[in-house]
Amino acid sequence: MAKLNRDEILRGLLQTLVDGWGKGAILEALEALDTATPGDKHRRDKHSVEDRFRGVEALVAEMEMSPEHRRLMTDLARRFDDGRAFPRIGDVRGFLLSHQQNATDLKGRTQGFRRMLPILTRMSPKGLERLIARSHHSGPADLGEISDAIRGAGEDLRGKPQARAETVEPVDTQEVNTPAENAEPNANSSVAPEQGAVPQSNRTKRRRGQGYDIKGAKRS
Amino acid sequence: MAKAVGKSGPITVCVINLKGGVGKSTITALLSRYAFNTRGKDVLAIDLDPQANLSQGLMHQTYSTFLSQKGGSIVEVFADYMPPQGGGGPQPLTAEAVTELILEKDERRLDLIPSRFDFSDALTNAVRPDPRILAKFLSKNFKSKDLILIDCSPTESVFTTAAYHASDYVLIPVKPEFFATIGFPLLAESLANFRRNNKGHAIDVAGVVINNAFYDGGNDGGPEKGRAMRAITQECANNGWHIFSKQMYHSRGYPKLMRGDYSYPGDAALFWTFASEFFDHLGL
Ligand SMILES: Nc1ncnc2c1ncn2[C@@H]1O[C@H](COP(=O)(O)OP(=O)(O)OP(=O)(O)O)[C@@H](O)[C@H]1O
Ligand SMILES: [Mg+2]
Repeated sequence: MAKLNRDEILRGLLQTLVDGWGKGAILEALEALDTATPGDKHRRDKHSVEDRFRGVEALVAEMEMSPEHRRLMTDLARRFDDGRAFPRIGDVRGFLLSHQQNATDLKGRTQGFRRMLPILTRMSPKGLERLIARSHHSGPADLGEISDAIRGAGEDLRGKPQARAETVEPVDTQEVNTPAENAEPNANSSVAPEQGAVPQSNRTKRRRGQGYDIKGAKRS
Repeated sequence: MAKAVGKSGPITVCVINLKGGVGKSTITALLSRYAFNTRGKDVLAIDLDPQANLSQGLMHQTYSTFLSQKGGSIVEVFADYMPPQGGGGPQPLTAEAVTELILEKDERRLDLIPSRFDFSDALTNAVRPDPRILAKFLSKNFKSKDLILIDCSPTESVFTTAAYHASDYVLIPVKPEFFATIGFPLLAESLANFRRNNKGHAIDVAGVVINNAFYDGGNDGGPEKGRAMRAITQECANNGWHIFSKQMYHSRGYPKLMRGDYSYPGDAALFWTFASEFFDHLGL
């Protein structure tokens, strides 16, 4: 019998947990492990414990709304419960903050969903549909993902010869990677944000690999 | 300097400086959100830069989805049609086809016309695009908006002219550093040129905003900032440009906000002080 390695054991344990509680609850519990200070456990409000147990789908079920909204809200709530939509507390926080809602004291995803509700109910069915379609994204923008998408689009473009004139330089790596050059070099570092920052002015201005090349327009 | 708001349609502002990296995209993104969230406005943001920083700053991770799904963008606005999507041939251009929904509340929205990195590329083979096409498209489709904000590329081109054609006002961000004012004469000349060629179009400089986007010297300056500020003040006086009294502080929060990382806004949380002064100034 082959010996299980550590990864396999971990996967097995996690699978058991996911089977028992659902992915959403496990993700949330992990997040709570990350952020909770010892005192926090006792201060958790009653709502969030109950909600987490029932899932946010139950929350939506209790609310009054049009059938169209109900269908979409239930869809979103289900995805939320099983961890497909707004998978991390940071995603919920991002949603709330981009709507200028307070989210700094947020303790869990479910508590966050309660605060999202008034915003969600004021969105149109079309808006909700769009939100659902994109709600699986997690974390701040990832340059890797954007570069991949750009590369994909770039290949499409190169694949169509009529899309380029002879006078145009071929797409080189500089050009393909251009947006990546705007990356914040240490945005993910643990350096205190206002203190040990890299001087922005010392960064040479990136070369614009791609000036406008339309007749009569300047190329930088 | 308030113009009549309401029936006449949205106030349109282009954020421009023919010098790069002064905070144009950051300011456009944050002003649009502020106008939507705090001032309760119906807003359209337009990304006129193939580097698409504004699009990324408003869409965050969904920008990559947009790219791979080949959503409509500013490219189609300048092309003036929607390319065939597998049947039916080219389609007429609609507002919906080229906008991305960023925020929505009741009937109000913050919409974005995103850019693509191949923006200029896609048009390279075309005859020089009509610089009035954007203005025409906006006047036909976005009359009901309260505010339109346009993020320009730092490179002057037909798209700069297109932004002017569409705009009531110009907002100029500047960094108080040695080379700061170099872009000013260029911009003044570019605006003067536009006015000469378009006598019927009233386009005004709403003002200049000081963005302390560097770290050296800190926010309260030091001799370098002092020198730069004197040069800026002088140039603005020569051109008759207003300088906003609220400045943007240096903050690591700005790049974070643009990436969709809300973990630490820092002094970027004070952006509203400028935003508020700006919209009061416009009478919005
Ligand atoms: N006040 C500030 N404090 C710290 N960083 C800032 C500040 N303002 C802007 N930045 C950062 O400086 C960089 C350039 O800003 P931004 O992209 O908004 O400028 P831009 O004028 O649009 O540039 P471009 O000319 O390339 O279009 C970005 O990384 C941005 O996050
Ligand atoms: Mg920019």
